[in-house]
Amino acid sequence: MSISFEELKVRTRAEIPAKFNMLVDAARALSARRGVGVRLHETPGGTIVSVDSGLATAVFTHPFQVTKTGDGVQVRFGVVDGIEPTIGGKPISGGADSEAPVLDMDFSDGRQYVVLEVPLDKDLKLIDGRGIAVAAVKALKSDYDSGSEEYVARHPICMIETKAGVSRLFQIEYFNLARTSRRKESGTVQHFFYAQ
Amino acid sequence: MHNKPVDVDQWNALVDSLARCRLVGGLNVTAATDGRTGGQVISCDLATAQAGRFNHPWKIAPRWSESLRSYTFKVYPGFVNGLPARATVPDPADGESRVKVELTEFPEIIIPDSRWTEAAQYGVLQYFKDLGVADAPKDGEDSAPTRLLYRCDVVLSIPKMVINGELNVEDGEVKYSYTTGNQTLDVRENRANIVTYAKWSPPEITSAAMAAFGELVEEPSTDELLLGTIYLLGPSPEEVAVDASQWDSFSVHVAHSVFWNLGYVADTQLLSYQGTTITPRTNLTSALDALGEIGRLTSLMSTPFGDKPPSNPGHYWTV
Repeated sequence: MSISFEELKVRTRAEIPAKFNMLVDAARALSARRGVGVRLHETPGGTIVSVDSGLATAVFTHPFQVTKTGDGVQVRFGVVDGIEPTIGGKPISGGADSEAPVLDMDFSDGRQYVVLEVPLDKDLKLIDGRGIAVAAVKALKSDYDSGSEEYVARHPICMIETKAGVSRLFQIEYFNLARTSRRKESGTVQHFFYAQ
Repeated sequence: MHNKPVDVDQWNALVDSLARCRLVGGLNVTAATDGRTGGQVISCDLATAQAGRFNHPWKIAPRWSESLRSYTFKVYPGFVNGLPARATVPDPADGESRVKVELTEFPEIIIPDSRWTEAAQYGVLQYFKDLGVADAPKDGEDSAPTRLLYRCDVVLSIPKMVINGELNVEDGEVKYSYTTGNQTLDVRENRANIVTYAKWSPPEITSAAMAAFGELVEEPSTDELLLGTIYLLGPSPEEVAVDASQWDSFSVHVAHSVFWNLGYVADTQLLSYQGTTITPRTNLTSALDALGEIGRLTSLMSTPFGDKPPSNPGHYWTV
């Protein structure tokens, strides 16, 4: 309800009784209502509005959470089929005694993806000893090279968009993952990643 | 009360009532008097209150736009197969033509008045019953005073290749012909879109049994998923007489159905079209391709009409 206080104004005392009910309605309409994360406490001296501190300070953390750091990004611990990916050969969490590794990124204008890369053999199984890597991809190109017997299944975990030198991160992945791949009759390989 | 002097008790009660409406600063909130208008300015320390605040993908944020005299909403960017969905909005250049904008640009999507429908006819959620909304009266029942409740569904929609068969008899010979939907084969154009419906329903599909008897329903041209429903709740009947022309007096509620980014794969039963393999133009990784596009675009429809396979709607899943 929109309140027009101008209409409530009077020039003479005689106008007051006719506008009394309108003023009561206006006062009722001014009553504060509680929104998300807000607490109200009515007192004779007024209504106290509070924002819940738990809501204010809670931080949501999740697997594969990407954060920008200097000229690169770090990726919070997560697993694909129970395997922790690596950056430069180091586990993305850094392991027990070292800091989380940084994936160098080019933050020039444009879009980039932070992706998981799963190297597969011709039977679409993870290649022994190769592990799963986190990589930066500037322009997404085909990962499927029909000339070899090796495939790379990629899955985006974050998109980074840079405009006029300002980068914004859009998290895509929030969960640990499972993967499966299949070869269709046409010979095309399909990779499926799904939350676990 | 009209034309009678106001007595002291009435005025004091009114003053008390107004005093209770005065907002006082609390935790993380400050209240100050606006020197120009005398009104109260309530401020929240956003640096504190929003630190770590989490918005899930596809979160719908509706609001009343006074300038447009309409409800609008934004959707926190959601991704399908790693690509942000789009919405169709007026072109800011001329304000009339329509352009598709990715959700990463946070476009403000207008809800036309025609998209609002009375929610009571579809059953009222208990949440709204508790707030005073009644079910639609049954035949013969008088309608009791109730709060008005309108709804609008927000849906994710991906266009897909559609091939429809037609049966014609010419010169005593049965001929089959096929037409494709009007979707482009460029997957970059066939991106997931945000659309609104007054009431969305899953499309009817041709089951295997129906197909065996040649009972075909028209193939839907999109694969759709309900993201959430926006509700407009009117004031209670005792408060004020309200009709739908007073939208700005309604309160807005959202019931979300999807909270995470998605994978999508289309119908993979159809592998080529009349013997010709369609090669999609794409610069996506095959991981992305495989999840949604190649299967959709390399469709086969070379089987006789009566053997047309049943509808195979695409599938969405959480990634």
